[in-house]
Amino acid sequence: MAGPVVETINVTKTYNHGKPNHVTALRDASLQIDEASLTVLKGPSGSGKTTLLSLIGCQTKPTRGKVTIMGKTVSKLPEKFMNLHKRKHIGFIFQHFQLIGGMSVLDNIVLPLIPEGISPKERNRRADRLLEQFDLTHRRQFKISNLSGGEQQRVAIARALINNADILLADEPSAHLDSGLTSDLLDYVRHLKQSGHTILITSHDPAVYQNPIVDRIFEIKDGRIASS
Amino acid sequence: MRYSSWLTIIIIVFCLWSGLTYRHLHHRMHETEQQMKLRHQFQKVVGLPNLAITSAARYLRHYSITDLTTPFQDYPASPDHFPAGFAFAPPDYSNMPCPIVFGRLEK
Amino acid sequence: MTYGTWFEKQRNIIDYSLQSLLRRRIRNILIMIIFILLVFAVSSILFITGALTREMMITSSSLPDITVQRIMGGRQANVPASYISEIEDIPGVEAVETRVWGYFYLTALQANFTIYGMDLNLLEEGEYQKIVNWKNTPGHAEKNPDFRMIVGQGVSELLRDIQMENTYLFYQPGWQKPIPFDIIGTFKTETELQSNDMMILQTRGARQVLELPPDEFTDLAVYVPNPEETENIALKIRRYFPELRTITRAHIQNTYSSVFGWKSAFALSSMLAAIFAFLILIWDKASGLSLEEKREIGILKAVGWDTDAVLSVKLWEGLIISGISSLTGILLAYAYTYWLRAPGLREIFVGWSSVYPPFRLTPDADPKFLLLIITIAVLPYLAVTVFPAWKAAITDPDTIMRNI
Repeated sequence: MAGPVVETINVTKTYNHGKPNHVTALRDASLQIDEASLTVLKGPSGSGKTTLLSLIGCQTKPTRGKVTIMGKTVSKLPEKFMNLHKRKHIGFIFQHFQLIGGMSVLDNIVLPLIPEGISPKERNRRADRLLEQFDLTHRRQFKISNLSGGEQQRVAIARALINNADILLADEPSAHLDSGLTSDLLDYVRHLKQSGHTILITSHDPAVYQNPIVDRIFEIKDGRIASS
Repeated sequence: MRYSSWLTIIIIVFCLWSGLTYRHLHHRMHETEQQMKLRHQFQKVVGLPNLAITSAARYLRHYSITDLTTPFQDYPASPDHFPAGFAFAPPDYSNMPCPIVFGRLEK
Repeated sequence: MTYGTWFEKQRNIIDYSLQSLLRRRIRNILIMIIFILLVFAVSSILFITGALTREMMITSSSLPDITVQRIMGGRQANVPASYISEIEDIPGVEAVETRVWGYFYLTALQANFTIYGMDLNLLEEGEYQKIVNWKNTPGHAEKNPDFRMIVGQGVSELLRDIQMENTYLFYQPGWQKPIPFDIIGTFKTETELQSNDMMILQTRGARQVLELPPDEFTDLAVYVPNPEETENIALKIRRYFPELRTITRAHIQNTYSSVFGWKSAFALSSMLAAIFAFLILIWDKASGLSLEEKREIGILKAVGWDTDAVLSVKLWEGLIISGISSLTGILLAYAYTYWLRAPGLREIFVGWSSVYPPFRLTPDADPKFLLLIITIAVLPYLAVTVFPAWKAAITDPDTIMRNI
């Protein structure tokens, strides 16, 4: 695709806008991310990097500014179309994984496909492929609550990939992992980048942002992009 | 089997059960029509009101027409075993039309 | 990515809803049990009330227009024959029938019977023949034409137990000798609800048994062809003869409709415990989602579910629980009331009697009632399931995640 796959133009996000307890988490943030690249948003906690990731991931809308994904300005779209675009192009990996504990690994992975009207057979086929890829086949029917941190991380990644998204967003993916698992994670990320995915990670872990596979780093401080 | 398939089976079972119930209802209603003719004739012959379902006392057997001083007789619709007016004064039933009840009421 | 049809999408959502219900299966099963019990109890009570009231109302149109009684010293006294012509003279009165009836208590059987005197020849000819199962015992009936009787099924069975199924001896302390009556027939089972404890005696014989003086009657039945005039004529009778008490058919019908009204209210109030449990349940659901439920909705929205898909799940959850519970409750209540004849509940409504007709209640299934049950059971439950979820469903997933 010609041009950046992700672009934000002067996005500002104020929580509780108009109320006395409003908080401006992000101010005039502008960035561009190219296809098949690995970008890291670096910064201390509370700097606004999760907010920026949420805006790009269509989890919320900016108070001001524009967010463009794959050439479409998603920040102006009604919820239904924004969700459609999100499901088609974006896979999100949350900081605390955000998996449903009472459900099995398989059910968690196929969650994004349910409202698409895709048959169970097709859903399971895609899920099994990912389970194999992430070495989770033996955990197929296990409840999430019975899995280790690393396994949960892999389930979260598999869920993000189930809809064949082009763009992967990960919020502090290494936060709950030891160095060994972090290294495994980065291997997956490299593999995904090589297969053409665009990846954006937030992290304050040097093991992540200092890795040679990273193409670009944006530093965020006090809600602003300080440098890139 | 998919969960929705189980739900479909449950719904089908309910439909069958409802169907059987309706069939029973229909059958019994039909039986009643034949019965009703005989009952109407009996009622014409013996013009006493009230069903013979309890004969423990006069004021229970023919509660509609028993003594003034017996419970249930101070006014129509006073509850039996309680003196009328213990909570509120009885309403004036002298000009009341026929009541609305469940099912069809014959005039 | 292939996209499925709308039907397939709904099916997926239903699958997810059922899965979600099964994840909290103990809690949901308990909710369903309470729900079913409540609907069952309310439906049974309403079914039995409706059926019994209907039984009474069915033949009420054949009752006399006005029943006239004489009150002396606040108690019912016999009506002298002199009143008959005076009441007949009131314009609008078609006919005045005299009635001879009363009660007879059989100490041996500890049973109270209703005795009614009439000319049995009227039953032997014409259309009324069909209501009796006549006994063909030749020669018997000719013996004492004034001392014949027809009895109801319940009476017949009791008399058979004491070997008096052909002739019964009436006796009261103080009589010189007992009065024998020949039983010439029994009333058909179809009439048992009315005739079960009755003994219809030939008038002359009835007068002797009831010790009614000649020229006196128990009460009078007045027939008024114009229904609009009934109340006026009743008023006139009361005005002309203040010692007479009038009971119109409308009064009797009103009494019918109320007698089970208070009993059903009584029975319903004894279910207070179940009603409270249900209200607490509704309140608990209405007061908002648990943290876990909010988190789940947040995750669904975060992975790309639309608000309407999330609300569909909640709607299906509520519909499945309340729909299945209500329907089960109603169908079980029907089976309990009309197949099993409501054991336990029947005694509360019908009362004590030693001459008990084994009657089957005629089903009274008014669609209005069923709609009422569904409205008060299903709709509130749906509301308290969907509305709390709505607030979470319209929130940004980002906001939900941050607050958990």
